[in-house]
Amino acid sequence: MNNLILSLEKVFFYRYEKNNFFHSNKINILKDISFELKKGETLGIIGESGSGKSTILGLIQGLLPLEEGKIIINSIDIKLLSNLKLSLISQIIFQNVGSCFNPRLLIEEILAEPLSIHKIGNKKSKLLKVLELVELPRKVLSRKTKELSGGQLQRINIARSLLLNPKILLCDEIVSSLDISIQAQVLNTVNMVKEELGMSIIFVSHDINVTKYMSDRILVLKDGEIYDSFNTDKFDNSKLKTYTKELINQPF
Amino acid sequence: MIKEREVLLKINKLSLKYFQNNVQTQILENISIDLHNKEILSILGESGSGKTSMAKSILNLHREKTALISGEIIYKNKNLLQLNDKEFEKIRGKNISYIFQDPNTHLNPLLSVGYQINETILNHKIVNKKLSKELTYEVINDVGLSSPRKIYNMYPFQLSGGMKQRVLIAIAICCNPEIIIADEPTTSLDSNIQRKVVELLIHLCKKKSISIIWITHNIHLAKYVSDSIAIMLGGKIAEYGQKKDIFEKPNHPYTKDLIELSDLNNFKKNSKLKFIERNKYNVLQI
Repeated sequence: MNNLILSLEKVFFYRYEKNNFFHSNKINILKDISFELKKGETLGIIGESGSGKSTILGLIQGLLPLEEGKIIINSIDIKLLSNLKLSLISQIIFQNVGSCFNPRLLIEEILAEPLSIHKIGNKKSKLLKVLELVELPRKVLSRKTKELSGGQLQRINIARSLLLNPKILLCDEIVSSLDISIQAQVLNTVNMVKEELGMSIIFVSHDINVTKYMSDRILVLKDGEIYDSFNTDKFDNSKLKTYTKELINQPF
Repeated sequence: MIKEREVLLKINKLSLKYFQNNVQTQILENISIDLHNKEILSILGESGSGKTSMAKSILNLHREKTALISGEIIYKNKNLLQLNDKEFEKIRGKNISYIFQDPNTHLNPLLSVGYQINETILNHKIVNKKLSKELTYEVINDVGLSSPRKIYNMYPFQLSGGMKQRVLIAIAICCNPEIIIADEPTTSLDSNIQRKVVELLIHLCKKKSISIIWITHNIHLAKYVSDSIAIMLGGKIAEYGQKKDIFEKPNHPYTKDLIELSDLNNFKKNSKLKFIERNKYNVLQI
């Protein structure tokens, strides 16, 4: 089991919706989710909005409480890790770049935040190193977020997540709101840093083509359950299940 | 003899400059495109290409003091750019209507959605007060919202994103326009809802013979919905023509690169994706 960086076992997740004063409806968001992530692998998760993809990432990153099931990350039970310790192993990048940054701070200050929180020194050299990894120039440090494009901000996001040397990068629809040409830049960046730093990636997207390009293996999520899974290398269209084929053949 | 299709709207050498703090910025340069009847024309462009600015120009939605427009936009034998406010008010919402991208900023949160549709009908005196409510119910039904009477009294905050977008569509079609300008009408929606709303818009416009100028940055969407496509880059038209020609025989290098990048099956995993430097393209009007 040494080559596994992450495993989920029988994870369930519920949401409670108030029906009336006395009673809440228990809504099943995730059912019986079990999968593994190998070291150095990119695992894609595709599915419609509302299928539970972001919830899975939220649980792995400790943003949502794990109430039922097991998550083992870097050979440690996630329940034994504080969020602070967890952020040294796993980092998450979201879709909406606008709301990930404090608009009043300079890029340099934004990037330095995780280092400050974890009381890590030698900040400037670490900042320059991650900027180099995402191929952004040094002068971006003195800019503010409003001066950068969506694609550049997403790469700053990626840079920020690399500062703590995580083993896992969780990507939640990171290119969905970007133009195609900018999308390409961000995807190139992710692949580049993955190779340089030997990370494992979970890539969540509703765009099957982007996910197929990025991933070694793909999980198909439907209504909170794992419906299908396949390798992107040995990929036989005819052997896919019905819903998977439907997803793949969407015109847009 | 092939009958030539009727041109509903003719944009001729449209140019736009923004003027702020004594600095002039060229936003649009020499845009010329035609919209025919029963046509869906996509304006495809990445952010900053000028597509929304162009759409706004058609209905004079720029702020007068900061926008310098030149060229012609011919509709019903008149140059729209030379109309005054009063004349525009008759056309806007009635002959040519606009669907905005974000329903949250384009619906009045303090008024019921039914009121806002009804208001548009009454404003343009389509029918009298007695009949306008019935017409509103009909339109709400047309956009796929069941229980029109219930929906009429609801407020925007009570509706989902997809429902709000349908309300915007209802406002746009309620006066039976000839032309709808749809500015990224489904971009803010989840992908599965997006597909439903796209089908709705196509279906309605075919049924009511409305032509659409459909602005989008999504090349797959443009390929799906359009009859013709104009690709915008840096405020200019890089390429313009029938959908089939654009995708089968693209001329401009930017078009070729976009098409290539749009299908990631063209790239092997772990190979670097092509880098498009938007500034390097020499844009020529066709």
